[in-house]
Amino acid sequence: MKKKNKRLKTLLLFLVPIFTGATIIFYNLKDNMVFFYSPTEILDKSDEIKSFVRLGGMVKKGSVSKENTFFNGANVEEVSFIITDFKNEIEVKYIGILPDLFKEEQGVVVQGNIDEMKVMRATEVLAKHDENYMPPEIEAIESIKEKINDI
Amino acid sequence: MTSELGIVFLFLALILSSFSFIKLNFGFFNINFSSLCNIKITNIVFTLIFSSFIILTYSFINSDFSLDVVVNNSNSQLPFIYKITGVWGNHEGSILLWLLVMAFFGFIFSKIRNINNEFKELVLTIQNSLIFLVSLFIVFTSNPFQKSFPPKIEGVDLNPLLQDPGLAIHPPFLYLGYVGFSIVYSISLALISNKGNFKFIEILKPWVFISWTFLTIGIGLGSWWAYYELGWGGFWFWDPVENASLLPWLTASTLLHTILLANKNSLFFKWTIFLAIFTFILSLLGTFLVRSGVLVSVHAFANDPSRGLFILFLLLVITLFGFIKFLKILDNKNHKEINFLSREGVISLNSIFMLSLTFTILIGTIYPIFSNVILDKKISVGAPFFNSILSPMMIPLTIGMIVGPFIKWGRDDLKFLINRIRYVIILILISSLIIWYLNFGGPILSIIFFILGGSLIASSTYELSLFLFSVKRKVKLSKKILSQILAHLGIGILIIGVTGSSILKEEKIQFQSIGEEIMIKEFNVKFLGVRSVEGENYISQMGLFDISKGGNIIKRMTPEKRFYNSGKQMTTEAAISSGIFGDLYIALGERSENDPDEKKWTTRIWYNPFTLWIWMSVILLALAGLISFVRFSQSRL
Repeated sequence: MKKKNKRLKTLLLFLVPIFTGATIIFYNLKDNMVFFYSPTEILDKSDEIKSFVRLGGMVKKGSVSKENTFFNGANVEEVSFIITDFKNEIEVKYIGILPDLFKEEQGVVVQGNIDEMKVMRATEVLAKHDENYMPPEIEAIESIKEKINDI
Repeated sequence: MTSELGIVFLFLALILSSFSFIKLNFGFFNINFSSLCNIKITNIVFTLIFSSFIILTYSFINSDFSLDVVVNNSNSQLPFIYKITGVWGNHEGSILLWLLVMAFFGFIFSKIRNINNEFKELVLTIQNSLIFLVSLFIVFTSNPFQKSFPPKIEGVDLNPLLQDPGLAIHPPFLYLGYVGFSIVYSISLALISNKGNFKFIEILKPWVFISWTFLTIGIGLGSWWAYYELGWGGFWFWDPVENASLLPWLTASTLLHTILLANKNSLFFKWTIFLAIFTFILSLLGTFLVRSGVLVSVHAFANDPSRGLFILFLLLVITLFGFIKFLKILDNKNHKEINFLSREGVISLNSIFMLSLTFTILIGTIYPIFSNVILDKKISVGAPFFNSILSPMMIPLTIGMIVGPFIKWGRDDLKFLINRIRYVIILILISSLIIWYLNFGGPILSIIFFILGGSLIASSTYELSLFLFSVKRKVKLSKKILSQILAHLGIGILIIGVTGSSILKEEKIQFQSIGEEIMIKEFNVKFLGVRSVEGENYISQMGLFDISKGGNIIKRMTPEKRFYNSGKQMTTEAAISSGIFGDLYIALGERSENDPDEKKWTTRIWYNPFTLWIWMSVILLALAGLISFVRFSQSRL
C-alpha cells in the first residue's frame, strides 16, 4: 500500500507539471505562429487572415518605387513594390533599410499586416542571404518563373 | 593531382574506421574482435583526415579551380586569410572540418596515459564508429574534392558576409564545441558498459568542460558577428539555427552541474549519462537543421535533399543506439534519497527547469517542420514565443543561482540558511532599490530582470569576497568555487546585457540630409557625407558621422556599404561605438532617389544599452569553463 502510494505520488509529481507545461506551450505557440501565404492565398482567404503574416513571392519587374513620407515624426522614405506569384499581385509598403540582396525579379519574403486595401504593411523584408541559398518558399516560386520563361 | 589524394585519404579513413563500426555492432553478439587495436585505427584515421584537410586548404590557397568547392567559394583576388577560412565557408569543407574535429578528439583521447587500456579501447571503438558514419556521409553526399567540369579559370568568390574575421573563427569554435560532445557521448556509452564503476566518471569531466567552453565561445562569436555584420542592430534573432546551438548548450550547462555529483549518487550518474547522450544528439540535430535546409533560416546553405535524409538517418542511428544503451542503467533504482533543501535538491530542480526550457525551445524550433509536413501549413514561430517562455523560466533559475551556492550538501535547515544569507538578502534589497531608483526608463519587465541580474551579480561578488577577505585563513578559494562564482557572475552580467539591449533598445530610421543632426539618447549624430573608399576586393561607400555629446565632438563613426566586384554582392558594415552603458550603432542605407540635390540618405541609428555586457559574460563563462577543465584534467584517476 505504502509503496503504491509513493509511486502514485511520483507519477503525479511528474505528470502534473508536464501536462500544465505542455498546455501553456501550445497555447503560447498558437498565439505566436506566423503563417506563410502566397499572393493568391491572401486574396482567397482574405476573411480568415487578420493577424501578422508572412507573404512570399517575386518582386515584380519595374514595380519598386520610393516616396517620402512621415514616420514617427521623422521624414523617411517609404519603399513600395509588388509581390507576384504570376497569378495575383499584392502591393507592399515598407519603411526601413532593404536587405543588401533585395532586387527586382527575385524571390522575397515580407512580414507584416495586410490592411483593408489589401496592401501589405511590412515590418520586415527578408531577401536571400547567400546568393546560393533560397528559402524553400522562394525556391518554389523561382521554379514557377522558370516554367513560365520556358513557355 | 594532389586533390585526388585528398579523396583517396578520405576513402582509406572510411575503410579503416568501418572495422571499428563492425566490431562495435558485432560486439553486441559477443563475437570476438579483440585482436583489433582501436588506438592504432584512431591514430591512422586522424592522420588521414588531417592530411585530407590540409590538401583541401592547399587547394584553396593555390586557387585550384579544378575543384567545384573552390570555384564556388573562392576567387584569386580574395585576401589570403579568407582563402583559408573559405575552406569551411561552404557545406563540403565545413563537414570535413567537423570530421577532422571528431578525429582530433579521438586522437587526443588516445594519447592520455593513465586510462585503463580496455576502457580506452571501448571508447575509441564508439568514437571510430561515429567517424565512420560521418565519413560515409562525406564520401557519398558531400565530397569536397568534386572536380568541376569543365574546369574554370576564375572562382565565383566567397560570400562577402563570410569575409569577416569574426565569422572566420566562429565555425571552428562552434564545431570544437558541438563535436567535442562526440567524445563525451562515446565515453558515456563506454561508462554504461562499465557499469557500477563510478570512478571512471572522472575521465568524462575534462571533456565536458572543454566542449562546453568551446560551445560557449562559438555561440558568443556567432552572436557578435550577427550584431556587427548584419546591420540589424540585434544580437539574437531566435532563428532556428541559433536555437539549434542554444539547445546543446542548455543541456551541457545542466550536465556541468550533475556531473559533479555523479560519483556520489547513482541518480545523478543517470542524469549525467542521459544529458551527455542528449547533448550530442542535439548537436547533431543542429547540424541537420543547418545542412538539410528543412527550416527557413538565414544560415541555411544551398542544399540537397539527399543530404538532409542522410543526416536524419545518422541522427536516428546515433539516438537509438545511445538511448537503448541508456535503458540498461535505468533499472537500478537504489539511489540515495535527496532532500529538497540541500545542494543536491537545488541541482535536481535546476536540471528539471533546464530540461523543460530545452524541450520548449526544441518544440518551438521543430514545430514548423511538423506543421509543414503533417498539417500542410507553412508557419514560422517568432521571437515572441521564445521570449514568453524564457522570461518566466529565468526567474526561478536566477533565484536558484543566487541561493544555491549557500545551501549545504546533504541536508540544510531553513533557519540556518537564512542566517547564512542575511547579508546577501540585504545586498539584494540595496541593489534592487538602486535599480528601482535608476529605472533606466524601461517597463516593469526590464526592472524585474535588472533586479534579478543585479542580485545575482551582488550575491556572486559577496561569495567571492567571503573567500578573498576571509577572517579565518583556513578557507581557501579553490578552483571549483572560483569557477562556479565566475560562471554565475557571467550569467548575472548576461541577464543585464540581454535585458538592456532587447527591451530598452532605441531605434531611429530616417532620411538624413548631409549636415543634418539626429538626437538619440544623449548623443547628437551629425551626418557629414559619403565618401568612396576602395578595399582589397571591394568598393565601399563610407558614411561619415560626427558624434557629439553636450556640444563636444567625441567620436567619428564610419558605417559602410560595400560592393564586392567578383560576386556582385553588397554588404552592410555597421559602425558601432561601444561603451559600458550602451552602444551607439549606425547603419547606412541608400541614397534617396527623389531628392534632386542627392544629399539625403536613409540612416538607421540605434542605441543598444548594455550590449557590451553580453560579450563580457561570454568571456567570464569561457574562463569559468577553462578553470574547471584545468582542475579536472589535473586530477585524473
